[in-house]
Amino acid sequence: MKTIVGYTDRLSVMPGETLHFMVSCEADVATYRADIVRFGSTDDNPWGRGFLEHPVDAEVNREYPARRQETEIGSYMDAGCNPTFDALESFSIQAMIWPTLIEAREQAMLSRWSECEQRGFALYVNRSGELALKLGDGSAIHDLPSGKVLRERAWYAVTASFDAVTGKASLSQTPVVAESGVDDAADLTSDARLVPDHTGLRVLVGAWGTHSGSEAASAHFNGRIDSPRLACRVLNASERSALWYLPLRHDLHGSVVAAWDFGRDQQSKRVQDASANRLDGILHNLPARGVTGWRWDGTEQDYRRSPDHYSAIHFHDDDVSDAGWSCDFAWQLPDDLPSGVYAARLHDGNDDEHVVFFVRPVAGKTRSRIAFLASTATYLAYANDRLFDEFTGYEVELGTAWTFGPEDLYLAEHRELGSSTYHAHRDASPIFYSSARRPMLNIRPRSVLWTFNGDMMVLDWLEACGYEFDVITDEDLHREGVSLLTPYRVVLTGGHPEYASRQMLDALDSFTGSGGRLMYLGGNGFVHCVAFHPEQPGLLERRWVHGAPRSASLPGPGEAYYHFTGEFGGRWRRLGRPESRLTGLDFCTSGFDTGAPYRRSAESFEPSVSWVFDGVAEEVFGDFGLAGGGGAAGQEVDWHLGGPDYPSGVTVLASSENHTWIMQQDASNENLGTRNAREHHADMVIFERPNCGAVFSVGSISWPQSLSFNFYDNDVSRITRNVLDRFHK
Amino acid sequence: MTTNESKIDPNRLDLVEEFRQAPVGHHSPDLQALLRVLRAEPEDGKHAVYCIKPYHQWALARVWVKDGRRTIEVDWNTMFDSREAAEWEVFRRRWERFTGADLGDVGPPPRRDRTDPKVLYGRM
Ligand SMILES: [Fe+2]
Repeated sequence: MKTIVGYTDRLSVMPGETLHFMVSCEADVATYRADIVRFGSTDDNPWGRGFLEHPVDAEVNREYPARRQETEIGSYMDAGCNPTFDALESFSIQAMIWPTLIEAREQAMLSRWSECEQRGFALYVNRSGELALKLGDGSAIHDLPSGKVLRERAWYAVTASFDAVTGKASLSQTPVVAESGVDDAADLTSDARLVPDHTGLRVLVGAWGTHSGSEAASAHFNGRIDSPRLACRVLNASERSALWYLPLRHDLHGSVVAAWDFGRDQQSKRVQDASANRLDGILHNLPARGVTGWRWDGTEQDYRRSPDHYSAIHFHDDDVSDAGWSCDFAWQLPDDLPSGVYAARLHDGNDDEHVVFFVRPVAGKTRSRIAFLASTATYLAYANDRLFDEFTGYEVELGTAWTFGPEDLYLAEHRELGSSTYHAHRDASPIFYSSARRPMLNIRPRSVLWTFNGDMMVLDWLEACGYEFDVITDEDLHREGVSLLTPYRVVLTGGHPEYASRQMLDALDSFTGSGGRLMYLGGNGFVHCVAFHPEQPGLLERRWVHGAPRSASLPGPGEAYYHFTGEFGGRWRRLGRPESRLTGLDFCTSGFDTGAPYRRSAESFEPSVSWVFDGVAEEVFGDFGLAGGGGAAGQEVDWHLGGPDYPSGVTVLASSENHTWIMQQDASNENLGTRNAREHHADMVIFERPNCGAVFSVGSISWPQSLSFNFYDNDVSRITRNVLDRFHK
Repeated sequence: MTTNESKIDPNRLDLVEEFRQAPVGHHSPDLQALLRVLRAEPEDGKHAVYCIKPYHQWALARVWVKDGRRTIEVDWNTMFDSREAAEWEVFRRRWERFTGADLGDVGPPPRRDRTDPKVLYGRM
């Protein structure tokens, strides 16, 4: 059982920098022990060196007091507790709302409420799914429900007011588009018989406060909120109608306390108040932006070109962009710390946990001409993948029984650690973001041989074969561009570098076009577009614009543009950057039961390329692999389709054969659609690039998982070695 | 089990034996059809495998769905020393769940040495 977990404030760090470690203990122990280690191998497979961690002498290696840390989950906007709000006696509130998960639970849209003290005011959806207004003075509550159940995924104008002079409370619920036969409009007034006491409370949008003086929020809303407004008197109907529009009508300025503009400054956590008061709000836990609002009519697809059509924010009660734990210890990395994959090994007497991080070299202090590019964009996209949350039929695609590990048991009990971009939110809307500021239970040793732990087979092999190398990450490449690669002769990837930002592709193109050599040791690589947050490290956005796999959801219509960067998202091929330009391959088929061996092509015996197979005796090779036995070609495999999207001079060295019935075509590759002539297979290719650059691609996720067979003395290892030795000369 | 029950012929013990010999890999079209049905077992109570110690020890598991939330239940009394044996047990239990017929004493798949390149490893 997992009882200790943790995370760092970022995934990639340099010598001299300080890294912060956040740890939570659930076991009933007073202390836990932390030790920094560098990984040789992260896996227990019986073929190679086995699990191997090298101790690192660090001053932070010691016992720490154990504590349990709580994770705040759910997004909302906090406008603080400004004195302007305290001055409110009478007031009106209004918003456009689009609820997405009506359930037996209260969900606040616009509040100045303390749940603990039961005072303040809140416009919310009650347990029956009706709009309601709640007023409280600390001893009594006046609750005014609309009596009409809201429909999910329909826009409503919702308004409420309190008149301090007459003591009247009012509420209205009006569908923007009325459906025939549906009775979901309401407009009512009641006698409040109390004066709400909201002094000193925070104004929140999308939740309410748990108690005054606390930063905590509860009653998170699932759905979209558009144009939330707060006024200091009871407005009439025509004033309320005018208030939906910005800029504010002149005569309303004196009455409007806040009018938050969700359509502008979408990249910022700060939400501007368009009123004279400038009571800007701060967004917590990254709700979805770049989503359509109540005015969207389909004539515009880019949120930046028509902010009025995108004036909504989609809040979720399961958003998490930062677990927000307190720091347990901080470590300043020694200046001479070698680049590599590291972890803080945590031990609480019961469970061992490894909090993984990547140490890249300081510019100018690289120690080798070889770099391993850790696919952190892909690790993030898959972070906290919840296989057990998959749909029933997914096992048919896998071709084996679902196999869980301790991290799955832990995730099933800990919804607050969020989910991966392969799943949907609780309200079935897509998960756009993944953050490294939370425990990520599949970026750890001994976990499933997929992404991190699969890629580490390359790290193990490099070290076992005696190569010196540096470790760099996707995010470093994204932020620094080709200058990060310039010191290297060869860059190796792991088994599944699926995700890339435009900046990453540009850097790799430039590298291979100016003498650099790329060894793409995987499958389904460089296929999908992702965006990194411009400021917060380890924060990723991806939208499944061109088809969603597994349990993921498609973005809604008009929501293909990334909120972090304004880029159009989706599959790189459809965005004009086909993966074949970089790798000489197209991602085509997948199947996760077992693998298959490769057979050499006739061309592979040409003297210009036959060196790849020096020492390889058989034409058929690689009939072994940890990924379901079978062979080095498997899981997700790429084909060489050829055609205009390919570089010239690509030689197919080998192709896999004899795959099982589980393999299936990737429907989102339209390049394959017209060329589906051959049976499923992986192609291994090599080609030159201008200025002595070169690319070697294996086209299979399983390749690295064959490297350690027979203690690294095997044909897959031999071929990889032949290419690396030749490439780095 | 009502909708899929009829798709399984409880007399096809030849398919059971084919699966036992090779839980993963090439399968006859009839076994493929059978596996499509068994693997689409409803998610409430769906059989699965739990990996206790990678490459060494597995247990039977089930996924349960309550109020839209899934939990994983590990049967610590049903453990295996190979993935093949675990896959077989999942198959056997599903066969019984779908057909109502007990497969009796049919033993686990033939054992392979742990270093055999064909042994089933991954944790997918
Ligand atoms: Fe993938």
